[in-house]
This record gives sequence, structure tokens and C-alpha cells, in this order.
Amino acid sequence: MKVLLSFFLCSMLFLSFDGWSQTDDPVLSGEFQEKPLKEVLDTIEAQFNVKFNYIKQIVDTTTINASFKDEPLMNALEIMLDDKPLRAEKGKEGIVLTYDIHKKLDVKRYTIMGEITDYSGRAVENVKIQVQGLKKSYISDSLGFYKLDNLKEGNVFIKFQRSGYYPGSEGISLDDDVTLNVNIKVKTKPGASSKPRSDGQGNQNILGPDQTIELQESEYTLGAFLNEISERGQFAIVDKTDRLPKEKIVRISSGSHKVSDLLDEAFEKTSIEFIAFKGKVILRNKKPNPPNHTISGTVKDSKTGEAITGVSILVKGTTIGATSNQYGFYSLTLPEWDYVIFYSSVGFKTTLKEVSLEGNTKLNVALYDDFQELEEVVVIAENPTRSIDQIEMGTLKMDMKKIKNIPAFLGEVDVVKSLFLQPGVTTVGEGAAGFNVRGGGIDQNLVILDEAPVYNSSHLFGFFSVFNPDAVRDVKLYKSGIPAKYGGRLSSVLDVTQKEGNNQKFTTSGGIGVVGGRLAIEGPLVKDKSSFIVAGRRSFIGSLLKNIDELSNTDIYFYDVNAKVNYKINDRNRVFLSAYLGKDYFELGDENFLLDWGNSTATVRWNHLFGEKLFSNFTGVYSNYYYRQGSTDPGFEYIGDMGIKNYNAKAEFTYFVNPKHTLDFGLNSVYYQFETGNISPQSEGSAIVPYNLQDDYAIEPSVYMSDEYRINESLKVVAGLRYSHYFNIGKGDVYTYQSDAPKEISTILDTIKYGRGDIIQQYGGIEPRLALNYKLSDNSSVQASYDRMRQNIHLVTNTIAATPLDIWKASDQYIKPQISDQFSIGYFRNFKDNMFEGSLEVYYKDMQNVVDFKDGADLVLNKAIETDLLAGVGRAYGAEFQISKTSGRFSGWISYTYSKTERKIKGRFLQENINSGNYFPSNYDIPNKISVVSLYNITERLNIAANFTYNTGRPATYPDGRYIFFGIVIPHYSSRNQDRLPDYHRLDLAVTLKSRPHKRFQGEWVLSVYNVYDRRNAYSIFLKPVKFTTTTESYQLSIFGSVFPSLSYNFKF
Amino acid sequence: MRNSFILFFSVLLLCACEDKIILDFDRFDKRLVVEALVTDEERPYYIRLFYTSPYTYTLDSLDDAAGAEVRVEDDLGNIYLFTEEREGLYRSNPFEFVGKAGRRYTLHIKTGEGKVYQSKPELLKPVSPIEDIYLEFSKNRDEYRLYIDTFDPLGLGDLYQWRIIYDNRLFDNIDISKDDYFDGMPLKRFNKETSEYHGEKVRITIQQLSLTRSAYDFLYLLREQTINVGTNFDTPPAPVIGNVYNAENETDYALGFFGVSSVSAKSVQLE
Repeated sequence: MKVLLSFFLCSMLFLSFDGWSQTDDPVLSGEFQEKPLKEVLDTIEAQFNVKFNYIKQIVDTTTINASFKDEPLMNALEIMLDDKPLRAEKGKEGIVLTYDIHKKLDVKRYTIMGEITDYSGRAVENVKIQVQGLKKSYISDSLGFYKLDNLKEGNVFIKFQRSGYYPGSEGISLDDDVTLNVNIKVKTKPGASSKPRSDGQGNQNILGPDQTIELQESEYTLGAFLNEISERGQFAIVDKTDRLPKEKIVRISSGSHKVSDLLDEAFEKTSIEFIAFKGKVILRNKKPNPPNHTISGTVKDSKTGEAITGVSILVKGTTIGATSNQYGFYSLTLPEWDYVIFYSSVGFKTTLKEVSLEGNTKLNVALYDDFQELEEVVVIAENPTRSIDQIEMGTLKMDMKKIKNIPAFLGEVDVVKSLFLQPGVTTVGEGAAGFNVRGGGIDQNLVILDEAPVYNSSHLFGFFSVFNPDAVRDVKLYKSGIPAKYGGRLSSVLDVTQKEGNNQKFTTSGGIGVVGGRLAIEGPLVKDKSSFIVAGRRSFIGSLLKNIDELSNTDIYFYDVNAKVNYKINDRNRVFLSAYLGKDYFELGDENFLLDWGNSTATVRWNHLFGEKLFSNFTGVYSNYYYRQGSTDPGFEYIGDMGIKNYNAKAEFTYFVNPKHTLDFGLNSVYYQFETGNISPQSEGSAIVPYNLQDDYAIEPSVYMSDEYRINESLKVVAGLRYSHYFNIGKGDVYTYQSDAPKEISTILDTIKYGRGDIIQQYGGIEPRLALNYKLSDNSSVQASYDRMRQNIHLVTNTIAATPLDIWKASDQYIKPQISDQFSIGYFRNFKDNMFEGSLEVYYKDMQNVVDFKDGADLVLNKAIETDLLAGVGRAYGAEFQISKTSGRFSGWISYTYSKTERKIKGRFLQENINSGNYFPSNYDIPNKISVVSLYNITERLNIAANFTYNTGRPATYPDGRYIFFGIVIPHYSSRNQDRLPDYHRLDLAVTLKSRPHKRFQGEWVLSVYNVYDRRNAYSIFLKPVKFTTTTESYQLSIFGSVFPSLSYNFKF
Repeated sequence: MRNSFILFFSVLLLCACEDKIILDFDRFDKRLVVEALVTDEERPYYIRLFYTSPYTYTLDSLDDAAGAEVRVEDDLGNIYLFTEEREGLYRSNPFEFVGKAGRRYTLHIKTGEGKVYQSKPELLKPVSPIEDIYLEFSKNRDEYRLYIDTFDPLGLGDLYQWRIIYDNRLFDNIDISKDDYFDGMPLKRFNKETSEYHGEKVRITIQQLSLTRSAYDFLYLLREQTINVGTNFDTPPAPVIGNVYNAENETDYALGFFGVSSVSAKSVQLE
């Protein structure tokens, strides 16, 4: 900040007011250093012909420190007296100075400064900058610079105006000095082009260190040389040295020279070093071994005070950087020096901070929403090639704002469904639960909500996901390059983070749509220290169905509740408590059938910062998924309960060793309890007898460590190692089988009984992880990764789409842990000044011990489930291509995926083979997939979004014969998944109309149309016997067999 | 239960629709099909042998496997020959062969082409009797409901099939159950499927059959593969492989099943 200030003072040129000063007050200029107030007042009296009335004693004891340039007199007085218990008021008798005992003297004052440019990057001078509510105003200078100082803490609204330009405005919540670079737009004249220049070089007059200037051959003194450069290149020279050897002779040959080369030459063999920015050169004494200091802090959302995850923090002019962690924390250790640091994140304006690093520095940064002020002002991010440095290959980060803009089925914003538009993520059909990542099953995704595993992410069988959009802050999906801290599933990690709650003000948001209603309340408990959020959602579907005669006995609903509280004890300690509860209920009265399921989770976390470099997080997690089915048939009433419960304790540490090394390590232990089925009669006379399958128990401890190592400017490596162990423990009975026959009920030999806590079986293994990022240039890189994953719990299903009744099964002596090895490599490139981001990734994945089932397996309430399960191997490979436009009025992406996934089930016995033991396509093998997602902001209030998706139909099995058995016509299928459903494609549209901005109550109407052109996509093709005949007929089932328009309303206040 | 899922879909998604389509194939897997049931009733047992038809053919006439040698052997070494009554239909001699509970039976076939098939040995298990059968009119549902009274003997592992016969027509429903949830319990007012009954004056017979484990598994799979189809909540199509294999090469399986059951039956006449 000091740097800019001195630059400001030494090189600023002030320009006239152009006659639009709003005040008739005289203006004051001058510098007052330790001047007695009396003297100042006398000067003013003499100069402006005003008279002061005051009590002599007060004025005599007060001195003034201030400097003004053309400051309206009353403003100047207010500033001068700001830290004094005095107030100046205009009276009849002149200006009266009185005691003001109510005046708060400790109000902090901040400065906003920055550069104003037009879209082509040219500095705009003569822009009037005015702070709302203050008379104070300022005019940008010839370099486009402006500075507003002495601003009080709090919200500031600034207007930028100049004739010939669209007015701009910017809202800022001030709690620190801010650099605010603003871009204003020229009003287009006929014939004039307003097309932005894309070279990103900015003002033509201001040179960067890489540009050249023409010089004649001559000898300069260093002083004269610096003046020359300063003038020619419009550089401000900031001298921070003890003594600049101005007399030193510098010889320059004629010709054009790079500025940085000239400076190199000038300071050769001196004890001075320089750092050159665009328009500025800072000089300082070389320190032979500058000590290192740490800059650390948290990055938060200016509006809500919530932490922002994954903010890319980059030191300008270097490749040194960091990323804010899940709690917004970052730490950077750098040698003592002056730095400009960029903070950028999707959905936020890039902010830059200048730091004179002279000791460990706490730097908390607030980022501003990218979506505010659509047309008027865009802060130009001097975008420090964000994605190339920060890409984590195989990782998708989606923030809720982005997800909310995607047209949704029945207008219900859905985190999981939005993933289907991403490359590498597929589903077996509309309305199917879960998602498949790169050829993996739905149970191979670790879905965590604030660290707690969610075992069923679906409401209504899979039509909607369990994540309430109002409660979710962001979503991250790892497809490869999975950090060592995660484990336990083969294919992916979906990390869903709940909002922390606005710690600035109370906000209520919600919405109502066809499916149901939502309401969320958040706000500070203690401002800046503690906040909470509570969000709820409930469906209306059931109530609607009740109106239909045949369905009056039907009861269907779902609801979910999210809650989170956080408390910042101090800068080093913070605690979080979060919880989720969700339930689905489904009763068909006429069928005497009921089914319900739900997840509940609770997470306690404690963040603690040891020193400046060691960040720690201690977590306790409880997660429970239960599902039950029952019958209300008189005489046969029963309920069957199943579920999985886990308790998890973990300690995680991040040690920011230095900018080259960041170390992550920690340990984790999970205790599981699997309830595999308990049937209990529900009435006195029920013929159903209690039937209990034994519970399974398991403990899964693990340790991990990984190092993020920046080997040089181009190469970054993240090398990690995880070791996980697994104990299947008693109490439990285990069947033994004849070794020379397939496992069947009839081949059971014996039962071995294990007592509570006895180890029945154990497995353990090392999981290496490696990710490389090699930067080819400023806008392209190559990345590669290898992941080994182990999975000890399995969702056992024998249907194409998982049902809520599928059981989670622990590994035991018959079911081994699944293991996968994935290799992937990708090429990333940004185009057009980072406006477009392109990527190509290829992967190969090999899976062992994948769980499959015998044809005809009955997996529900099966005492000897191993007799119906089979194990095999799988392989998946593919290529994912994506090009996206992330900024501007028109944004979106196009992606294409080619993929293949197959498995091979070949056992020791004939009965243990599928498709004769040959490779066959998995149910979710979808070779070609194209997604196009687009959003166009027509105006600030109106946007239109469209997405189109196309994919090859999933594998299907069609008959190759037919026969009759006791009157039943049976199609004969000789092998699994050898055919395909017809291709799938669909177009969705959504139009969003928002209420006027800057109002407290924000409403928005969303009209969405799902399946616009009414395609009947095949969900399945099946054969049905025709009653009393010997024929079957083929049918195609389309779940969404028509256009689905819907209207929903969302609000926030 | 899975039927309920389908119902759910049609309920929730009033717009979900089924379109009849034509599947056109020339792929054909020709296999021997065995339709055989040996019981403890004193009557001739029929074994029908034929081949699968291409999917696009009708099944009004079957590709009968004529000229086969068919016999059943028990675990005491007795051999019972079946004679070909007409092409593909083989019949036992009731004076010679009546199934007995506790015996294990094996089916042997030598087809007209000379291929040899045999079944796994199947145990004829006893079955508890149907004590009563009655029809009641349900005003709620506006239909007749059929009930039986029976019981399950103590001890897990009893497996059942119920077959309903309207006059002489076998209802092609697969109604099977295991006793896991009602072991050793009386089964009173045990409701049986009547959806095919529309009030005609017919004689309704219920047969209660004992099943072997492999017969239960076979019928379970058969039901999964024919009745519960169409949604992604159903099992993927699979060959319904029974207990008859080529004696020389197990990978050459026959379709159908050689069933062995005790039968208890009761009838009720609708006036």
C-alpha cells in the first residue's frame, strides 16, 4: 500500500474539474505536517475569507496531520478533525468548532485506489469517482489512477462517470485498503468499434517490463537514466533504497531495449535490486539472504463472510502460488520483498493485493461477486492464467451459481444431475439413482456432505438429489488425481460443502416449484464470529396425487433439512457443526406396500492453526443410512429394516513448508455397522415371524501423506501415499463351503462362530497417488496422474438402476476389497486471454474384485449372500474433450466423451461365469456422449440457458430365441449386454427473470422446459407376454415421454 | 414388490409411456427345452421336449424334439421309461412310476440327433396339506378374493409353489415363496392371486407344491425374467438356465426344468 501511495504522490498529475464540482465550497490544497490547528485555521481564514468561532483552549492543544488537494473546505475540516473530539459546523457567524463528545475516535479509515480502463485496456482519465453519501469526489488522472482515502469502515457505493462512457458503479464492503481496478465501457459511436482488444497489454502509454523502448547511444547517470525510463515508459520509480547511487554511469547502446534488460544493466554490480510491474518499478536494497516470512489468512465472500474454497492465489510475476483450502485458509512463505498477489476464483472478481513483506503477515481477503453489475462495471482481472496453474486434472469444481443456471427437470436445481452434463459422468437412465464416473458403479463414488458420507444421494428413487441447492456452497468432483486424504471408493469423490451461513446479515431464501418448496434462513449469531444456516425442503407431490381417485391411498413425500453453525473463536481456532436429515416415504395403500429411506449425518470440526504454517482440522462424523420396506396386508404386517451406520474420526494436517512444498498428512478411522436385514411383525396376529440377519461390523483405519512439490517454474508434482487397513469383526457367524463346488446353500459345510470384536477377516494395502503438472507455456500444460484406490464396502445390486432396497455389504472372507488403478493424462490450453479453456484427457482404469451377481440372484434378506455374488475384473478407458467459455455474457461449454467400460466375470465353476467368462459391456457403458451447455445474459435481469445432451444408448440385452414353459412364454437371452438401446438426446431450456438489483428483496422466476422437442427417449426395451397367447410383444418404456414445462419462483431477502 | 416400483412409475409419471416397437433380429440360439414335472400324484407324468424358436416366430407350433429316448432314474437305481405319445411329448406309466417323497430323481434324455442330456438329481420333498380354500367378495376392491388355510412345518427350508387352475386351464402365474418369514407358522387366510378371475362360474383349484432349492431358484429367475421387466429396477435379462445339461459338456445347457414336487390340492366351485 505504501508503494502505491508514494507513487501516487510523486507522479500524479491532477486535472481540472471540468466544471462539474457539486459544491460551491472553496477547495483547499496544502500539506499540513504536525501543524498546530490554530495555524491551519489562520491560514484558511486568510485564504478564503471565512471566520472560525472556537474555544481557544481546544485549538491550542491540537495539531493536524493531513494533506489535501482541492478538497472542499468542509470535507477537509471533517477529515482534519476526524480523530479529534471536535466538530466543524457552518453557522451564521462563520464556521463553529465545538466539542463532540459522541464522536468515535477509533474508527478505522481505509483507502480505495485503482486504475480505470476501458475495455481495450486503455487508461481513462477524467473519470469522476464519487462515493455515495459523501461530497467527496475524485477525478482519475492521465494514467487512469484514482485514490479515495479516509473512508470509514463499512459498505461503500462508488460511482464512476465520464461523458462518452456508460456509468459504472461498484459496491464494496470495506474492512481493509482495497485496490479496485475498474473497467468502463465506451458508448458506441456509429462506425466505431468497441471490440475489446485481446492482447491484454493494457494502456499503450504504460509499458510493462517486457516491452521495449528506443534509446540513442549515450551515457547517463543512473538518476538521469531512471528519469528517462520513467518518462519514456510512464514508469513510476519507487525508491526504497537507503541511498540510490544516482551518479553511477550507465552506458546504453542505441536501438530498442527491453525495459527489464535496461534495468538489469543499470543495477548490475550494485547492491540494489528491482521489481518491475506494468507502469511501476520498485527499487530496494539487495539483501543477500532475505529472510522468509509467511503470508496467511482466509479468503471470504464479501457479501456473506463465508469462506471460499479453491481460490487460486498467485504471486504476480512468479509461478508461486497457493490455493485456499476448504476453510478458505491459505499460507504462502516468501522471501522478504514487495509483492502483488492475485486472488481469483470462479464466480468472483479477481482481486489483487500489494504486500510489503517485512514479517509474518495476516492477510484476510474478501472477494466480490462476479455476477453483480452485469453491464455497467466489470473489474478487469489481469487474469494470471488461472486455470493453467491451478488445474487439478480430472477435477470438476462447480459452484452453486453455475449449477443454478442449468435448466433443471421440473425446475428443481440438482447438484447430481448437473454432473451428467460433464464429461466422464453418466447415468443408466433418467430417474436412476446415483451416477457413474469413468466406468465405475454408483457405489464407487464417495459422496460426502461436509465430510460425512451420504450412502444414497437420491430422493424419489433418483429423480432428484438429496442436496438442497439453498444449503450447498460448492461441489467438487474428483475423477482422477484424487488427493491421498480421500479413500474408500474406486471411482470418484464428490465433495459437497454446505454453506456456512452469512455472518454479516440475516438472509432468507427459498423457492416454490412444481416439486416442492424450500426455505433457508442464515445469519450471524455473533457478527464476524459466528453464523448459522438452517435450510429445509419438502415435496408436494404426494398431496397432489391424493386428488387422483385411484391414488387416494397413496402417500409419497420426501423432505430434507440441513443445518450448520460455525464459531470463530479467534484467528487460530474455528469450530463447525453441521447436520443433515433427509427422508423419503412411499406408501401404496391399495398394494399394502410401504417403503422409506433416509440419510442422516452429523459433523463436528475444529480448525486449528499452529504457527503460521501448520493448519489442522479435527473431525468427528456420524452417518446413518436406513431403508425399510414393509407390508400393511392384514395378517401379514411387517417391517424390514436395513441400513448402514458409520462413525468416523479423523485428524488432518496441512503444513505449508515453503512455496515449493506443501505437505498434507493425517489419519482417519471409520467404524461401520451394517444392518443387513431385520424383519419384524407389525401386528399381534401377523403371520410373519421375526427374521434377523446378523449385522456386520468393520473398522477401517488409514493414514496418508502427500507432498505438493513445485520442482521448478514448469513442473509441479503431487505425490501421495495412503495406507488403509480393514477389519471385518464379529460378532458373526460365517458359513464354510465345499471347496470343490460352487458356493450354494446346498454346499454349506459348517458355521464358524465369532465373538464380539473377533477379527473375522482383514485386508490392507498401500494406495499410491501421483499427479504431475508440466506447464508448457503461460497458457498450456500437460498433466498426468496415477491413482490406486481400494474399496471395502459394496452396494450389492442386481438391477440396472440401484433401488433404495439394495444393501451395503462389508468385505468379508468371501467378498474381497475392490481395487482400481487409473492412469490418466491430459492437455490443457487456454485461448483468447483465458476467455476459453480447452482440455483433453485420456484415461485407462483397471479394476479388480468388482462385485457382480449370479443370474437370478435374490439379494434382499439373503443369509448367505456370498452364494449369489460373483467377483471379476473390469476395465475402462476413454477420452474426454471439453472447451468452455467462462466469462462474458455468453458462457457455457461443449464436451465430448468417448469411453468404454467392460467387465469379465470368470469363476472357478461354470455357474460362476457370466457370458461364458468373456468381457462384456457394463450396464453403464456409454461410448459417445456430447453435452452442450450455454447461458446467455440478455440483460442484467434476464437470462436464457439451454443445454443439449446426446449419448449412445446404454447396453441392453435382446432375445435370441423364445420358448414356452408350462404356458409361460419366455424370451431366451443367451448373453448379457450385447445390444444397445436407441441413442439418447434431449434439449432443455430455461429462462430466468430476476427482480431489479440493489433491492433488498430479490425474486426470480424460472421457466424451464425439459425435453423441449418431446423426444421419447428409451429408458428400457422389454418384452411382455400377451395373456392367453403364445406371443410376447416388445415395448419401449420412456420415463420422460413428453415435454415437461415448469415454473418456479425463488426469492431472497 | 418390484411390481410396486412399476406402479410407482406409472403413478408418479403420468407422462411415462410405453410404446410398442418391433425388434427385428436374425440372431438365433437354438437350444433344447425341457418341460417336465414329476409329482407324488398317481397319474401319468408328461415330459415335453422341443427347441427354442427364433424370436420373430410365433409359438403356436413348436419345433418338437421327436424321437428322443427319455427316462427317469431314482437313487435306488430304478429306471422309469417314458414313451413318446406324440411328437415331442413323452409319458410315464402310472402303474409303474409314482413319485415318492424322500427319493432323488434324475432325468436322462437322448435326443433324436443323439445328443445326451441329463438333469441334476432332484429330491422329492413332502408338502403340507391345504386345509381349506374359500372365496370371499371384497367390497373394497369390488372383486372376489381367494384364500387358503395351510401351515408351514417347523424348520427353515420349506419352499413352495402355488398353481391355480381355472377349470382345466393352468393360470400362467409364478407364485412361489420360501418360509424364511413364516417358518413354523399357521398360514390362515393366505391370499392368493385372483386377478384372472372375473366372476365366471368356474371351478378353481389350488395346488400347493414343494420345491427343491434349485427349482425355487429357477422359478424365481423365470419370474424375474418374464413378469418383472421393463424398468431399470428389474434385473437385466439373462438366460433362465435350469437343471438339465449336456452330459458330455456342461456349457451346453438345456432350457426349462426337470421338476420334482409333492402336491396337495383343493378346489372350490363358484356358483
